[in-house]
Amino acid sequence: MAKTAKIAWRNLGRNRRRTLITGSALALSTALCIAAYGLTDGMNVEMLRVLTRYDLGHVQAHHAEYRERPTLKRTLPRADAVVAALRKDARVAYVARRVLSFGLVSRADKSTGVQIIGVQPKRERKISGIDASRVSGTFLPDDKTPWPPRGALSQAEKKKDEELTKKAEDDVLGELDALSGIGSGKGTGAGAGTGAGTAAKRGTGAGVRGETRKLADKLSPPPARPPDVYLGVGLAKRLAVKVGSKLELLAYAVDGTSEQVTVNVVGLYRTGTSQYDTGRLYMHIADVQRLSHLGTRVHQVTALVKDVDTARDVAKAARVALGVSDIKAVKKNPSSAPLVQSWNESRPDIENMLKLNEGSIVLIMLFIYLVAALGVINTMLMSVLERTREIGVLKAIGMRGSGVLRMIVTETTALAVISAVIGAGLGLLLNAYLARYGIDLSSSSESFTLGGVGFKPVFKAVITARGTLVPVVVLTISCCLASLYPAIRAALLAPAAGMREL
Amino acid sequence: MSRASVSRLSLTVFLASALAGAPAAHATSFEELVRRADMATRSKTSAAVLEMHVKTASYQRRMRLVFWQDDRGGRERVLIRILGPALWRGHGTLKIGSQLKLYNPRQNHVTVVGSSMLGDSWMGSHFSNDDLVKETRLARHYTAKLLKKWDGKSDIGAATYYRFRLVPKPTAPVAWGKIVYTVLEKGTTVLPIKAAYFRKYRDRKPKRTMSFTDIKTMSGRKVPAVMTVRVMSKPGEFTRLTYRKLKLDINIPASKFTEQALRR
Repeated sequence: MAKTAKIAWRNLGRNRRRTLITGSALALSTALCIAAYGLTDGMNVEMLRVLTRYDLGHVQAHHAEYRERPTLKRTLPRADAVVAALRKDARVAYVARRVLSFGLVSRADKSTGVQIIGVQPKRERKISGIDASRVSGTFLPDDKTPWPPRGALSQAEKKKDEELTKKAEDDVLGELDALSGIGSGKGTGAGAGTGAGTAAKRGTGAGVRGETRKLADKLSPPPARPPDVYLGVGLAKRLAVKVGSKLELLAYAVDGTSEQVTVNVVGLYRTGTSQYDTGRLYMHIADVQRLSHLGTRVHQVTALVKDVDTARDVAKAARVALGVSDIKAVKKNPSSAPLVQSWNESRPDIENMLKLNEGSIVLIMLFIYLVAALGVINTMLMSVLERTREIGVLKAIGMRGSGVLRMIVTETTALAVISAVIGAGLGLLLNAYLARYGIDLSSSSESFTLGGVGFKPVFKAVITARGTLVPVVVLTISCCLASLYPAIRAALLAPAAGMREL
Repeated sequence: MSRASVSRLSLTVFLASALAGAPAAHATSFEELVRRADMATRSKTSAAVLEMHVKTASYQRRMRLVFWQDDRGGRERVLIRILGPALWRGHGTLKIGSQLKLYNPRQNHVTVVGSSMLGDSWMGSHFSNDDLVKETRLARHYTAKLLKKWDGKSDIGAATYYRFRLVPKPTAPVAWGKIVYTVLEKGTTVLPIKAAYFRKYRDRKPKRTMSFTDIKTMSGRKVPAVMTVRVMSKPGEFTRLTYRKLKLDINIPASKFTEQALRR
């Protein structure tokens, strides 16, 4: 065996140029495969991270119809039980509640629609990447904003309110009566009438306003201080605000009304995904519940598991614990049964996309290695052809066919292993570069979405043992297989025929 | 904001409809009937005090409001102010063309709503912004075909009813595939009675209906004093507007439709 290896090694050195060319082709193939693997894995990891850290979580619960059409009304039934069931599971790392509301945020004459995400700051910090994406200020404070409770009007106040409405109406009716018809003199008469009406309204207006404020403050008292909001740099830029700025937030409420409140910008984040950086605003969950008249209701319970591969099992266990395993029954009865799903159950499209990505890299690897293998076959056939005489002599002095076969295969394998190791080194270097800098497409678009999940336009590679070893091993095996044909041909050579080549 | 302000916007539609029935020669063609029931909408100016009653599955609310409308400048201008109750008293909406501003007196803040957001669906509302633009040009954008004509009673005595099927003209920029429009004719008065809006021509159920009832004389004209909007997919829900006072073609000062006036 040692002799065969020795001969094989020497053979490699005989035509150095050929060995070098073939070897570098193999090394480059390996490096390319490792880089492609790294990039694909990187994309998949990023996709899963964005999906599970900003949106869904590994396991999450919603109102069964929420994700079809998100509305404020579709709150999660039995939220407390869902939280308890997930917390009990040892495989679960963190659980958090979220409220998902909508509003209009404005400053001066700029305004923009936003999704208002009510979070439990202490938990959210652990469960989502939103705090880690902070670029200035702080994250939301742990405690909710002090906010006096809503009150009801007394009988006397109700009466007062009706009087105020009547007064306002009477003022308007007076103003209407004072206006003349379009055709009937736009002169001084009409002008004076309008002026008088307006003046009269102004006189009573201040009183009505003061009384109204008192009543309104009782019905819906303002917060003790502006609630804090945490928003993306894109939104901050659009509204020209920085940390410490005040904004007006008009939040939609579940009963169809709205509440307006001044809010304080406490911190800014940048995820790199424009969908999140311009369209979202984070607030304390209790503040959003207050603004959107939700009481203690929430729209989402989300959980991170310790090992992402257990997500499906954790979701299943939670469904069993809650008695909501029958998805059809849950969908039929959405207001009393929560829909608990793992990320890949609620987004099978994303899971399929990830699998497709992995599939496509295997396909690419096959093509690259097919070409490499053809190169190896060619090289070894040439090498065998050149050495016909020599092989004939070897066989004549007693080497068996199997020995010749072993020799050729060993030669190829040695070449493949050395090339693969060098290629792996190159691939790792390339991957290290791609992991750090990535391929930046941000000049062509700010962010892109796949299956409704927004991504940074920077592809970064990840380095994994599998992504490095699989190309090396597959290359070695395919080279071994490729060398079999020339090796068998050499092994079957009749000694006399070989000698005749003299 | 959504429901309140959208409903406020919808007042344009209602007001427009209520203005129908301007005195004119006896209508002869169907198009003319549709135009008269609908096109009187473009009365130059109007002001009205209304009661708005919104009922949904989860709540109901009554509000009193004043509505000012002026089309004289080319762009439609609308100012709506809520007169009560306390929580919303003084809230104002100013709409000039497609620009919308909302005033909150407690915050003393005006929110400018971009036109792109106007085009969005108005959450949970019984109205959409399309109503404002497209509703008012029935005769121009739709072809009318008479489905039925009958004599019947009405609030103002025996009258002739017409039911038309309105189909959009090929190039009309409209949201509805079909409207079934019922109008009433009595003497020189032509009034809308009911409009059923269908998404597609072949739809069997309308998406939404508007009915006009309680014909009264206001500002010297006969107008339906109550309009009720129902969305078929939300049974039991409606938005009802009731006129308490209506004045037409009055000389509204231009300063009414400014941000200063909105903030007042």
